[in-house]
Formats: sequence, C-alpha cells, structure tokens
Amino acid sequence: MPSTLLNDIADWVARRDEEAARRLMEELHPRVAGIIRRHWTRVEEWEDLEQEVFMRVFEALPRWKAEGAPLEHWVSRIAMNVCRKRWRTMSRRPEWRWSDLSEGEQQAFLNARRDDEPLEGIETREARSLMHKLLDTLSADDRLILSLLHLEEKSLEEIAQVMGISRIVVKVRAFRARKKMHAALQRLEGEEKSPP
Amino acid sequence: MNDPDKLLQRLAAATRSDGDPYADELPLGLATRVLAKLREGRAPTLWETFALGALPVAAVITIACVMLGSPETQPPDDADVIAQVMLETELTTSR
Repeated sequence: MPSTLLNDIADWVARRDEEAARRLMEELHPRVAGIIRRHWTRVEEWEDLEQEVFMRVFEALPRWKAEGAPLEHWVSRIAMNVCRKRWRTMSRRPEWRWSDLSEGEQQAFLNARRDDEPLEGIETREARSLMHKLLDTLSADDRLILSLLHLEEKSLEEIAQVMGISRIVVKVRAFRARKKMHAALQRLEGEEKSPP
Repeated sequence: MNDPDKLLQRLAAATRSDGDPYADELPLGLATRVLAKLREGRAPTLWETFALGALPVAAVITIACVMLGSPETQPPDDADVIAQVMLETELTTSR
C-alpha cells in the first residue's frame, strides 16, 4: 500500500484531517463505485450508497489496523454490507416472466445462450440489468453470496469472512441459490420458446 | 437448454465487464457531503446533551409516579370499605 495512503489514514485517525479524508475518498472511489454499480441497479441511488459507505469507512477507520485486513478488502466488505442492508429494505420479486423483460434484456439472454462470443458494448449493460432482476428474486443473504461469488469472484473463504459464517454454510447456500437462478433461467427459456 | 450454469456464468461475466464512467471520478460534492455529515456526528448538540442527561431523572420520576399511584399503595377510601361490607352482609343474610 502506498505510504501516502497510510499517512492520510493516520492523519484522519489522529486529527480528523479533512484534506487527508478527501484524498482517501478519491483513492477509494473507483473500488467503492465499482462495487455499488455492480450490485445496485438504480443509478439515482448510487451516490447516496457511496456516501453511506464512506461514512462507515471513516467512522470505523480507527479500528481498521486492529482488524488486520488489507484496506481494499476491508473497504469492499463495508461496501457489500451497505448493499446488503439496502437489499433487505426491498421487497423480493417472486419471479420474472419473459414478457417482464425489456427487449434489450431479452436480446442479452438470447445472445448469452448462444455461447460463442462474449457479450460486448450495450449488451453488457442489458446483461447486467437482467442479472440484477434475477438476483432480485433471492433473499438479501443469498444475493450477497452469489454476488460475491460471481460478480466479485471471491473465494468461499473470503465470503465466509465477509458474512461471519462458516465456509460450509456458504457452500450450501451458494448451491441452493444457484439452483434457484438456474430454475429462473430455464423458466425464461421455456416461456421464450413457447409463449403463453 | 444450454447448461443454465454456463448461461449464468456468461451473464455474470458480462455484468463484471460492464464499464461505466461513474467509477472514474469522485462525483462533484460527494466528499464535501461526507465530511459535513461526519462533522455533524462528531459532537452532540446542546439539546442532545440536555435530553440525554435528563433521561435518567425522567425515568426515576415516572417509576415513582407509577408506584405512588398503584392501588396497593393507597389505603382504601370510605366508599370502597362500605361497598365491601354491604356485599359481605348481603351474602351472609341470603343463606
């Protein structure tokens, strides 16, 4: 970690140096914004979420060193937990039908099913929207597990640490949550091929 | 259907690769808002200090009022005594 970053952290913890805090936010923004963008679809709420993440980061920064985690991982964990807290306030969508998807999302589904070229350009935006719709059907904890597994590419051990549960529990919950996602995808395909 | 897990992986890969300019620069005013909120949270206001300090006193007064107002702590008044005697007398004479 750059020594300037450590100095800024020390300045904030010791004197609540606001210039140091600004530099820290600029340094951490790409990571925090990337997590929020991957896990929350409502664009108009991104800044609000990021503000909440930074509030928690600065309030907890005096304890960071004692926890022993690399700063980037520690901040990522806070960002994911802020997203999880927000998911819990949402009512879960029971399921999505093919006709509920936008044209772009339907096209992203069809292109992803072809399994030849990776999705590119605007298709990735539609694929992200479709992915979030599918994740909306899960509980907040199941959503966190699959998001960390598939979108953040974390290991089971890392997910267990973020959630404060055992690796075995993560594995079992991930298996069940993936099965639900598979069932949702198969249902969408069935409706696409045989519209009601 | 294609393996649904492969489809899920491809959608996840596309989600990960979706770029967005939002991630590049700190939004205008965000740092200022965060710092302002942190300053607000730093010291309690005078009102909050007074309110929190008065809470134990209010709790003691409330408990005292409840205990003093409880029927067990009050001697029965004359009307209650008379009513009780009348009830007992009526029951005795009705045998």
